[in-house]
Amino acid sequence: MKVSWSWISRFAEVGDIDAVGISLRFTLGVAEIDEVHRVGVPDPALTGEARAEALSRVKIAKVVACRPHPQAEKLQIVTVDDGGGTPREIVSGAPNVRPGLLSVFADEGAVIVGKDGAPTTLREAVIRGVPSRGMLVSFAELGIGDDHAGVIEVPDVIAPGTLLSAAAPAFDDVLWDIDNKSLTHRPDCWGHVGLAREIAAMCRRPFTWRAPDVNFAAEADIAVRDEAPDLCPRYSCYSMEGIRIGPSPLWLQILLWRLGQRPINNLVDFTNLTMLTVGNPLHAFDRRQLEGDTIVIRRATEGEPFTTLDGRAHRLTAGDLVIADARKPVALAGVMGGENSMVADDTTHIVLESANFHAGTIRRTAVRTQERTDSSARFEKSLDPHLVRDASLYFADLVLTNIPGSRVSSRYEDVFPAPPAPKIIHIKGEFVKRRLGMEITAAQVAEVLERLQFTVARDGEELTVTVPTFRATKDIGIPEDLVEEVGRWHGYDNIEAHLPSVAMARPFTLPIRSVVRRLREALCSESGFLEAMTYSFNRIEDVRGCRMDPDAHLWMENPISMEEPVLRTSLFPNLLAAVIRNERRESRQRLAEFGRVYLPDPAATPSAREPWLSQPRMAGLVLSDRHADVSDTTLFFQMKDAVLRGLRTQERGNAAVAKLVDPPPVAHPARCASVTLGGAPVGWIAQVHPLVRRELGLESVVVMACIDLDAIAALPKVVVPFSPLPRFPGMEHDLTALVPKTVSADDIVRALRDLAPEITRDVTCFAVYESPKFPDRRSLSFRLHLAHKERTLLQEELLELHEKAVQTVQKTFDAMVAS
Amino acid sequence: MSDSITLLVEKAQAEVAAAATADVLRDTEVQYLGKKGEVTALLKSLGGMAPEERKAMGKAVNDARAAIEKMIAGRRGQLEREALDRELAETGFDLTLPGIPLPSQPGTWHPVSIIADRVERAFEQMGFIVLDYPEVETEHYNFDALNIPADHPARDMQDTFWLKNGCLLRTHTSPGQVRAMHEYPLPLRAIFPGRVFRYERTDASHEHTFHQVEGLMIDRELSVSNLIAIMKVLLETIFEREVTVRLRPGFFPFVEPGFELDILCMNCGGAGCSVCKHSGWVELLPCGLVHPNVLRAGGVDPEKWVGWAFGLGLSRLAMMRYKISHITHFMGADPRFLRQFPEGGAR
Repeated sequence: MKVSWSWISRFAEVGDIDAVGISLRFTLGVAEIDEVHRVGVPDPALTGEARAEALSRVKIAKVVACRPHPQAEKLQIVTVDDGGGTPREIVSGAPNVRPGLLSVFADEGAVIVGKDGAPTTLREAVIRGVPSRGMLVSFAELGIGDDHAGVIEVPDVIAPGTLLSAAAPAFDDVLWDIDNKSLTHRPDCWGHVGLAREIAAMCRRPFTWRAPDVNFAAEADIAVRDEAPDLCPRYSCYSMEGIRIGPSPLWLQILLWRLGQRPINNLVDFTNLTMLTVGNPLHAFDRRQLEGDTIVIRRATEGEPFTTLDGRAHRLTAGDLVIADARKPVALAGVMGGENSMVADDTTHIVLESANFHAGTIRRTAVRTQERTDSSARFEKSLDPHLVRDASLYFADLVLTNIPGSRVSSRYEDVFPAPPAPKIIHIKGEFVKRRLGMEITAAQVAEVLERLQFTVARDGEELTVTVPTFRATKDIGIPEDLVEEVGRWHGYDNIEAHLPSVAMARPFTLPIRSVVRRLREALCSESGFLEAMTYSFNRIEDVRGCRMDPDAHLWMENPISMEEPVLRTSLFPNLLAAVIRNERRESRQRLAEFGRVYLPDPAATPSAREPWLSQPRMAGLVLSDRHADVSDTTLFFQMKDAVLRGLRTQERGNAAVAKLVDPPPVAHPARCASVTLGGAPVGWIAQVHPLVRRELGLESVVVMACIDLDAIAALPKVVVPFSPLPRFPGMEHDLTALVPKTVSADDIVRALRDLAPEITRDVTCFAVYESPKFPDRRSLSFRLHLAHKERTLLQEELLELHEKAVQTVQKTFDAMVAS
Repeated sequence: MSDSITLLVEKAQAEVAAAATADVLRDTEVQYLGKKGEVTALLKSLGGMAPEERKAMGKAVNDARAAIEKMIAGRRGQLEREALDRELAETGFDLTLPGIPLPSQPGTWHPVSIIADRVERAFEQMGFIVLDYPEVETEHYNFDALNIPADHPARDMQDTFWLKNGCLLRTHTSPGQVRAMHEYPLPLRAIFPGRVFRYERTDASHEHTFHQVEGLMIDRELSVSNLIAIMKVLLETIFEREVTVRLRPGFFPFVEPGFELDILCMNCGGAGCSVCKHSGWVELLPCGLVHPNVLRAGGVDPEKWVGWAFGLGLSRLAMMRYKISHITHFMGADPRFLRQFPEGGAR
C-alpha cells in the first residue's frame, strides 16, 4: 500500500519528523515498508538546497496567447504568465495548449523526466529557430503517474506563480510502500487516518483527526432494508444533489497519482480518497438508476446474472451478497458496483453508500468472480463498523467543499442493529513479562496500551483492557495479542537473548534419517555420486517415455505448466531427463537423488486429516556413459558394487542381488536385478529399457538403481557378531575357468564352498574376462580362502581340493580349466 | 518392358528378404531407389516412349517403386524388432558376477543437504529431535489447524498447488507442528526439514519448489528472549561467525506474537548492497510464539504450555552461504553446479 507522508501529516502532528528516518522505526514496530521514495524532483542525486532550488522552478502558469510557429506546423509559440510580471514566450507542441489554460510551468533549472526516462535539467533551447525557456509540462514529465497525453490542465483557481509544491503538497512528498501482506491483520492501517494514529503513538505526538461535522437534511430519500444482517452488520446511505461531475482539484489529482490511483472524475476520486484516508470503501449510485425507494441488502439467488461496472458479466451464487433496488441488484456488495447504476458524466443526484460487510463473504465472492478490488481487499480484512459513519461524513464534506452548489438532500439512514460489545481482555503484568522474557511492570504495560488507545483499568498486577473498536474486529482478542503490542512498542531489540534452561531429554533418531544419511555418505561422499534434486512434477512425455501410464499418477488441479501436470511416481523420468540435458557436456554421469514419490492409493478413502496416497522416500541413482556400447555390462556391475557397498552401511544384514521377478517398465527386462537387504527386497538395479532410450532420445548407456528408503528403515537392525581370528595360518587358492555364459557365477561359488567345508572359510569370484574367441563363454576367476581351525593346512589337502574343484567345474558346469 | 518390371520387383523382394542387417538393407535401398538405382533408370527410360505407352508404363514403374519401398520399410521394422528381441532376450547375463568398483572420483552433497545437515546437527546438539513429514498434505494440517481458516486473507500469502484428488502440496513445513504435537509427548523440542511448494512463477529468486526447516519447542516456560537466543546460536553455528539479528513484527496466523527475523547483511556488514537491497538487513525467517489455537489443534493446553516456532528457508540459507545467484540451480541437476560443494556432511 502506498502512503503519502504529506497526507499523513494532515492527521497527526508529525510534519516536522523526517519521514525517511521514521520509516525504519515503522518497519521495526508496525509493518514492513518495502520502499521509501522522496518524490518531487525526479533526480534522487539532488538534495538539500539544490533540490529546493529545482522545486522552486515548478509553478502554476496561465496561457495568455498562442500563435503558430513559423517553421513547424505542430508547434505553437505560447505566451505564458508565470506570475513573474513579464509574460514569457515558449515553444510548445502539446495538443491541449490554448489561450486561457491554467497549467504547470517548469522554468529553466527545473528537473523533469526526459523522453528517455532519465532526469533532465531544463535549459534554454532553440526549437526550430525560436528560443524557448522553460516548458509547460505533463504529469508524466513531472514524475507523477504515467499521463503524458498533454500538459497538465489545472481545473481549480490557483494564482499563476504559485509553487506547485504549495498548491499540491503531494508533489514534494515522501512515499512509503508498505508490504500489504504485513498489514493482513491490521484492518485499521488500510487508510491514512489509521496509519497516522499508529505513527502518532509511535512518535508520542498528538493524533488530530476528527470526522467533520455535516448537516444532514431531515427528509428521507431512500430507505434501507437489511435482509442479511449476518453478512452486512451495518449499512448507511444518504443522498446528495447539485453534483457536477468534472475533474478533481489539482492537489487531489496529484495525491491520487502518488497513491497509485489514476484520477477519474471528482466524484469517483472523492470516494477513492475517502477509502484511502478513512479506510472504509464507499460506493456512489446514480439516483436516476435506482428504482423504487428502498435499498435491499440480500443474498444473491443462485445463478442471478449481474454485470459489474468494469463490464464483466457474472453469474452469482447464493453465497454472494448484493445491494439491490426494487427490481435488480445494483452492486456486488463490498466488491464492485453495477454497470446499471454507475455515475455518469451528467449525474447530479447520488446515493452514497457506506457500509460494513462480512469479511469471509466478500473474500469468497472476490476470489470466485476474480474481482480483487481495493474495496474487497479492505473488507476481507474485517473492518471496524464504526468507520462507516466517519467515511460518510468525510465524503460529504469533500463534496460540499469542492463542488459549489452541492448539498446533502436526505437524512442519514444508518442500519446498525447490533453494534459489537466492547472487547475486554484480562491480563497480568507478569504474563507479559514471562512471555517476552524481559523485565516489565504492570504499570508499564498499562502505559503502553493506553498510548495505543486501549482503555486500561489496573488493579495491582491485574489489568482489565478494553480494546478500541478499530483493533477489535480481528487483530486483538487474546492476552497473547497484547503481549505483541507491548513487545513491538518496546522494540524487540531491547529484549536480552537468553537460552532456555530445560530438562534433559531421551535421545531419539528417526530410523529414516540415519538410513538416508548413511546412504548419502556412502554414495555421495565415497562412491563419487553427485547428489541432485529434481522437481516433484513430471512431464507427460517423460512419463510415457519411461513406459509408464500417466493415468496411474496423481494429477495437479493447477499445474505450474500444462506440460508438467502429474506428480512423480518414480524418480527416473526427471533423472533421465537430467542425464539427457547434461550428456553432451558430461560423457559420464553419476547422479543420486533422495526424495519422495507420490503413489495414488485407490484403496484409500478421502479423509479430512490424512492425505490419501502413499509417499515413500526413495533413492534414485543413475550411472551413464555416452561412449559405452549397449552390450557392455560394466556400468551394471559398477552400480551393483556401489549399491551393495551403500547398503552394507545400514546394519540391516547382508546386502545382495537376486533375480528381479517383475521389472518396472523403465527397466531392461534381462539386465536387471532385485536388491535385497537381510533377505528383504529393498530395490532394483537395471539398465534402461532399449525402447525408453529410443523414445527419450538418450544417447548414453544408463544404468539405474532404485532403493526404497522407507523399506530399509522398517527392517530390524542386525548387529553381525565378531568372528574369532584364525589361530593357524590360512592361504588363498585361485582357480580360473572358461564357463558357459548360461552358468551363474554364484552357483559355482556355492559348489566350491561345499567341497571342503571344514577348511573353506570363503569363496569369491573376483575377475571376469570375455573374449571374442569364445562368444558363448566367459572366463571366471575364483579365490578360495582356506584355513583350518585347529591346525596348519596340509599340502595334500590343497592338492586334493584343487583336483576336486577342477573336476566339479568341468563336470557340473561344463567349464574348461587351464591346467 | 512390363516383364522386366516384374522381374525387377521379384529380384528386389529376394534381396530385401535376404538383407540380414540394417546396413545391408540400406545398400539394397540405394541399389533400387537411389539416384542411380535400377527403378530410377527405368523411369528415365520412359522419356523416349510414345505418350500412350508412357502413361501405362509410368504407372507400372511407380507401382513397382511403391511396392519396393513398402518391402524395405517392412523389412527394416522386422530387423529392428529382431534386434530388440535379441537385446531383450539376452541369455548370457549373469547378475551374480562380481561388482566392479567405480573409478574413484569426488562425490558431493547437494548444497541444500549440506545446510540441512548443519542445521540438524546444531539442533540435535541442543537436544532437538529431527522429524520428517509428508509433502502432500491436507487442507486441515496445512491451513485449518494452523489458525488459517478458509476465506482467511492469509491464504493469499501462500499460493497453493492443489491436486485433483483434493489434497495439496504443503506450502510450508508448519503442518509438522501439529503433527508433532499429536505424535510426541511434551515437553517437545523438534525440527522438521523438507521440501515445500508455492504456486508461483520461477525467476532468479523465486522457485515453486524449495526447502525449509521448521523448528518447534514446547515447554512450561518459554519466552521471546529464548527464541532470539536460539536463533542467534543457530545462525552463528551455520555461518561460523558472529551474526547480528533483529526482530520486527510480522503477521503469521499460527504465531502470536509473530516476527520476522532479519540478520545484518553479511555481504556488506550493514552498509547496504545489492544482496540486502541496500537496506543493510536481510529478511531470513518468520518466527513467534505458537498461537494458542494451534496448540489446541495439537491437543496441547495453552494454559499450561507455551511454544515457539520458526520457519527457516534452507534454500535461501544455501544461497547466502555460497553466494548462489539463481535459486533455479538447485533443482537443475547440472553436474557443473553440483560439483562445486565438496564439503559433505557436518562434522
